[in-house]
Amino acid sequence: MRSVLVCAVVFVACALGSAFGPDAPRGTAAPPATPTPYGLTAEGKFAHRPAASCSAASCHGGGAVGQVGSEHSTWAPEAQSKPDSDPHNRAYRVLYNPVSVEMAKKLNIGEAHKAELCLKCHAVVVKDEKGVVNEQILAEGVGCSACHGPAEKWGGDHYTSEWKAKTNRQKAETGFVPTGNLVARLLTCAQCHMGDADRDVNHALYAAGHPRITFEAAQMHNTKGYRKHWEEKTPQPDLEVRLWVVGQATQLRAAAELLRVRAERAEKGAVADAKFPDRGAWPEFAGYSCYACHQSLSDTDARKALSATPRPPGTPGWEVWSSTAVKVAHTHCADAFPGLTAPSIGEVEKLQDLMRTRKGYSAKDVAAQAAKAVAELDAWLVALQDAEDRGPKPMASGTAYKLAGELAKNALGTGRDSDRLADHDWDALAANYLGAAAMAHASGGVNKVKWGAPIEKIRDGLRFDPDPNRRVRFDSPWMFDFAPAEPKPGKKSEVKRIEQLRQRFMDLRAATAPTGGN
Amino acid sequence: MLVTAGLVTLVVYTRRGETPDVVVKPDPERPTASAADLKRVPVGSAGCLAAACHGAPAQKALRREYDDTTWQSSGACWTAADPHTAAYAVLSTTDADTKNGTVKVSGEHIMRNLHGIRDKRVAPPPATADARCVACHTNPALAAKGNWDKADKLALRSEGVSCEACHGAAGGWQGAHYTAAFKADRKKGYAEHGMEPLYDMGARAVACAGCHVGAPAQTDASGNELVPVRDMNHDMIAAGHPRLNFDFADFQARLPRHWQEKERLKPNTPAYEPNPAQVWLVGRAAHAEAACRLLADRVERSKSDPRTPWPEYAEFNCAACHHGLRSPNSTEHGDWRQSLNHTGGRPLGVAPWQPIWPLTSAAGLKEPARDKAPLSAVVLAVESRPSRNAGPVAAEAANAMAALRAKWLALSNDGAEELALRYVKGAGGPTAPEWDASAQLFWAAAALKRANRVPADVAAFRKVRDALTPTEGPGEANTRPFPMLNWADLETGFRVILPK
Repeated sequence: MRSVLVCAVVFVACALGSAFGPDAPRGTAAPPATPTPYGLTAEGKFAHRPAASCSAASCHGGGAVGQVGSEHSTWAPEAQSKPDSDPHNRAYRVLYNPVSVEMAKKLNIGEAHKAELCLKCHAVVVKDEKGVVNEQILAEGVGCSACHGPAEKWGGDHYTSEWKAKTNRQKAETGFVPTGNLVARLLTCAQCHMGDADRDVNHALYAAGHPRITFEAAQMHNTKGYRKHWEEKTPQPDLEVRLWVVGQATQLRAAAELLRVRAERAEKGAVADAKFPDRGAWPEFAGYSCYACHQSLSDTDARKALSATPRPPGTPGWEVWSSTAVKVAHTHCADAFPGLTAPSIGEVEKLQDLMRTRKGYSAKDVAAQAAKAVAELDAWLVALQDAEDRGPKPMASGTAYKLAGELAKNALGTGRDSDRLADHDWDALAANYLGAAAMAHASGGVNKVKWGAPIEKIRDGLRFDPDPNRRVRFDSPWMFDFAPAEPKPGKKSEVKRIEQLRQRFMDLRAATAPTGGN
Repeated sequence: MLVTAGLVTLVVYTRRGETPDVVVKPDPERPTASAADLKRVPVGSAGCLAAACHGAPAQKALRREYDDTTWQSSGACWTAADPHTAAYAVLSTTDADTKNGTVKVSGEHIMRNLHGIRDKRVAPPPATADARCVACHTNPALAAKGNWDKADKLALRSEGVSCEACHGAAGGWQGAHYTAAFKADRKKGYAEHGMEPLYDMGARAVACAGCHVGAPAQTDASGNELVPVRDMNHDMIAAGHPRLNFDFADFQARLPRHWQEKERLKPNTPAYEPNPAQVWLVGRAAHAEAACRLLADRVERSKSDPRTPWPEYAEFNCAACHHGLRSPNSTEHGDWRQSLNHTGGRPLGVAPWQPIWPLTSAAGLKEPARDKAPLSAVVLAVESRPSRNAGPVAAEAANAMAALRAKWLALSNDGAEELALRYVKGAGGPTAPEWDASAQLFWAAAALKRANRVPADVAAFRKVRDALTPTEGPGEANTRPFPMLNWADLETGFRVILPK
């Protein structure tokens, strides 16, 4: 699996605030009165504090990497005793590297390390009354308060018993982000790792060279080399299964909100300016699967023949990455959170349908429907958040195994199409794979579970191999079908990669059927 | 009444077996057709193909020998060898035809995809019943609203792209075009009777572009549709239709020509050989003109027609989006698409409009620059926000292109060749592996070769052509899906075929 590029997570912001702000939809798209999850606070409401105020030896700077009381030491680059560390501490520094310099030049936004466009995710910007940027906080990159919230109101007392007696919602009112609650945590991650009104990595940025923004919570929590500075309260496999379920809801919520913001800006005729290149584009290509368009044209028929993809030909898939597996997470919400039935997501499905039609090009219709979808997903997230705060009952054994099976089924069609792929888009295959891989990892690893072998093979099939015959390397599944499946030295396989993937998902479905595996 | 009787006779002559139930009755909406009413009414090719008219044996024309008797066999030549004859028949091709190699893509396959029917036991609606397809695969007038349901017109469709598709629906000129009065002033005769002035190379190129690029609908003064909209869009390409990839000069050179080139507006119509470089220039301008009119029309239609989206992806160079995302550090050209040397000032991430070089810039060709080319205004409008603003800009540019093709048509042979040479030399060899740019430069070189202005090195021309041709996989070392090029061969080939 291609490592998902970690760029940065930043301070709590106004994804939600913007829904009520100047970008708020008019008329029918007015924000509905639904409860909203905490974890998204209004930007600028509280003052940030530098990490130095957290890293006292007696607080979080104990110097014993990986130990309680040494959270900052574990996170910070200067405490590295191993090559591992938290990549968030490099978020600001990468703005000085050659790729960033080149990108800024191409985008004509001045220097990357000074551009608001970049700093919104790559650092915490704090200005004094004179507008002078606090260099210390800036240099920390995505430091403590980027994720834990601006510490003005809670920095002084978050260790007291009074504080500890507060509910998470009360804590959140002070600007603190209770990251122990998976919903609050992932909403925070998603602000940068998916984007929001202020953090829009659009197609212009990609074209200039920005790595693709993809978020999958379970996978990112287990990125190789990532040095965690906290201990999880929930044991495996419950933790990772819940991370995956909450991640699905969070991901699509962020995607729908970004869509709403983009559609609204286009509808209002927002004009790109020097600070935000190509803002107001419609359709905004960054909202679609990269490889819907960036595919070789020679193998499309082969891919189509093997799949029951629900989109009309010629229509790129909207947020295939974020919306493919949501149905599984939603249907099986009660398996991950016993006793919790997820509220309906009918408006989300309507949004998905709309984005599959020609009407999906009408920014006005899209903005209105996306607003409804966001409200609905917020309601689901509130339910999940409350369940997290209550401390959910342990999952039934075999839940991860069951969900892996559901993901295999989700990757394949139904009825007459049950031996076809449900969607041949690389993003769709990857989303189902990542879910299944999380389930295997939660259960001890692909090597430990009987149903792990097909998952490993799916991973190999999804990899972006360099073209074996040429020196060109691609950051996309270019020539998907031309690359032979499972090539053996000196031998050419006749099986196409997409066909191999279809078979592996069928293998996984068989291995996770009630009679197989585990 | 006489004319109506003539119509009946004509229909009887056409392929009756195709639609045995056709009973031709006088059309109640047109009870007494006058000559004026018949102008631009399609009547079919049967009358043209009479042995004494255009149906004489065509051996000479088929050997590419032309003289003042060529006109007598023009219909026979078309019937014998012109690919346009099969235009309607391909609509009815099935998966079986693909399997046995008759066609690469069948009508059934495209319709199956367009309608999302995966169940092979269910037949998709026939392409012959879809006006979008019929509009180009026969005489377009037969797919016009007023003609769509008429049994006699239905019978004519199977002729494919026959005489009237290009020369104009013959109701108004069939009986007049051989008269002395008509020949005395052809310009007037063509205009008055509704015959297309294909003797004008520019008008001819525009006529071809009507289908090979696309065109808005045409209506008469009272708003009746004469020719329906012809728009082969991204939906159809995604469903399997080949992309439209037109170069007038190249296509015309390949066509089994059924006419003698003559100065038809001059007395005694002297024969001449058109200058290949000039044909290329005029063809490019006509192509640009058609593309601009289609763009303007698409923008207009998208405002009310839910079947017409905007942006219409078919407006763009296929490879604008359909390219692999190359690693910046990849050795073979790396991420040239992102390089400021090749974007020419286009905002990053914005899809470039289709190159119609040399009327627009083309990636990897030095001249003209993006903002200096004749169609710069359109390019800049399509590539900025909101791109709908490009509609009116394109409509205006289309008129400028019409004027340009007239201007280029008036050039002397030497003048045309010098101009074409200047464009090709200004472009230099391609500096990026971009398919459209390379293919269009190749067509220019081919035109100059026909004009004997570049060395006729057949091997080098073949090398470039093969380098541009995708090859089918899987697994072979030379597997090359579109839009990848064999860059090494392309470079060395171009070095030989381009003028020094």
